[in-house]
Amino acid sequence: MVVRRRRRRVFHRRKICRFCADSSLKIDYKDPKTLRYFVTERGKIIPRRISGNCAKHQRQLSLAIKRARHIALMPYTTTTTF
Amino acid sequence: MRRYETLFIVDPELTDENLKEVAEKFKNIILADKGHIIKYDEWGKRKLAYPVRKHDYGFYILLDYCGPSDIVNELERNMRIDERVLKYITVKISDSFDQEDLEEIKEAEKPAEIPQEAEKAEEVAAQETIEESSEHEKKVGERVESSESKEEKSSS
Ligand SMILES: [Zn+2]
Repeated sequence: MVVRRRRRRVFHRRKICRFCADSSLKIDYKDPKTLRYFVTERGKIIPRRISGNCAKHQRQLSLAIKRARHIALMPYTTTTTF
Repeated sequence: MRRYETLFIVDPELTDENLKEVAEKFKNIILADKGHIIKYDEWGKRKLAYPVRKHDYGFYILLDYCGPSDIVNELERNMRIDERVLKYITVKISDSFDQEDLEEIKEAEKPAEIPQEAEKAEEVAAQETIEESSEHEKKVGERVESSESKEEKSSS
């Protein structure tokens, strides 16, 4: 049991920041196509412990998503009820 | 000077004429405040991620400009009171932007025009004898090359 949990942790830590790995990938509030990968289906920002982004890029990303929401390029929440 | 961009959403039900008028109005506000428009980009009609003032669609326009810092206040004040504007957002792109930077951007846009000119020159040359036209092409090629090297200098 303990061993298995540890393995899972290692798996999570292996994720690397996509923006550090690919410098051509830009964070821009005008580009909701890219930003959409970092929100859930409901439109919530995915925490960096799951996405694996570094602190710096997560900060830029959340700012971009909030700007995109403000100008109606992305939803605050999806209105579809489950 | 500083460089900003303002993305705003205009009521998509406006006529083309009204739309143009709205765009002109805000462009003129920038120009009147000693600003320069670097790029004007109409994204067109897009579906909004959520309804805004009962509109499901909006006409997006992006303005890229530079000017003194109070230019944003004036532009946003006018957007706020204009009912045709549904939403707007302004982002500062650069803290220091001077005449030189502006010239550089203008210069960078030039290469797109040069090949067209060269094409026209070639058309004229085609009417002349073969020998002359090949000479002409050489000259055109030289001109393009020299303008490219000039650009490299200015950007470095
Ligand atoms: Zn990163």
